[in-house]
Amino acid sequence: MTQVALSTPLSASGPARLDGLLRRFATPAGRLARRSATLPDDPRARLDALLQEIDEIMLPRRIELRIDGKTLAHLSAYSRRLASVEIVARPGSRPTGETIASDFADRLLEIAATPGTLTCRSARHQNRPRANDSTCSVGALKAALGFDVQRSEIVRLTEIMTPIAIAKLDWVGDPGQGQFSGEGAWRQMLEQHALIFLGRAGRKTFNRQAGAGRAEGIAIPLSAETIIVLARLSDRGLAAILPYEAGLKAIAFWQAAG
Amino acid sequence: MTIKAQLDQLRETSFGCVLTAFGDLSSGLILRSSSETPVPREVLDALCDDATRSLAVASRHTRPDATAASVYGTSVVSFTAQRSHVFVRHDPEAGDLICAVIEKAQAIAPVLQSARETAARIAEAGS
Repeated sequence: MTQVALSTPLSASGPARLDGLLRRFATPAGRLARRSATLPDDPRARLDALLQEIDEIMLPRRIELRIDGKTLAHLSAYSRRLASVEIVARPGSRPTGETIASDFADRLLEIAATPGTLTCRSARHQNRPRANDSTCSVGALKAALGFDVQRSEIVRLTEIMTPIAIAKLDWVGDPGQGQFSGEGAWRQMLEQHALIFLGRAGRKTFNRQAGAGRAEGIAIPLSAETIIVLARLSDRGLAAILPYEAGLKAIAFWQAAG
Repeated sequence: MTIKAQLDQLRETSFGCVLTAFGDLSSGLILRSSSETPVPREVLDALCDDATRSLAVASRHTRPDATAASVYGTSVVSFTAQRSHVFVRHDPEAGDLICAVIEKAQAIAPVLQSARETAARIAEAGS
């Protein structure tokens, strides 16, 4: 039987990923070959890649995850749903009902946080799923991991504010390493305020307790014409100088669209 | 006009505003509030706490050159996807504070302007 090697990188995006998906969905199940890839080192990027992999599975597949060549875990999935997560060194009972998403999320987090080179190999699952097997959707997993919300809220705010921003700094991790655009004279102010906002400037910390992984921010009027907006969610953040009226309207628009 | 009456007026004339309050930043206490239904003390304490931390980001000691001295540090809008909190004081050194809580997606600028006017009236009455 002809074997079709599907080697689209798990982190591929845009046209390359779409091509891979179309090719995969168009391939008869019997010809689907093993698919393997090395996942990124960053735990968050690993989770993203695993969720993407599960989201692309229709027919039952078993995914073997190896760390530095040694088997770490097995996942099984079908119909874009995760059916099981078995960590080899720590076998546990199969979760069911309301706890399934959080239990699977905890196990995926443990897998993603394991140091070493993580490789993923998926193949057609020989055992057909039983009708009463509990499974978990990728959407539920994203919610349990705080993944979708984290990405969408701050990205959406950035997308809304970018077209009207006089200057803008957005970052993942360290504002000092963030992406700046706009009038250069504002950069220092954006960085300084971002650090104070994040409680990293050696003064009284802002240290607000974010509600259940949701975005939060403040807008400070600088003059009758301009405001500075600072927002964050997890390790992502945004600082922007905006026209006064348009900036405040953008916040309400962001809330309305959420 | 009493402070309570000023707070009632601010809330009733500001579309989407569900709570207004007058507080003292130095003691960290909300002294008066206005809302349609009673608000637990813990909520008011959390509001004052939010004001203290939010205004600290716009401390006068950090005022950049490109900002207006009469504006910077007098007001801050704290926001989440669910609501906005407007905090206003008459001048950057003042301890008296006006708070207004606005439900999500409602216009912020008119409430901010009305809160400034309320803060100015209360400061004028107290001087």
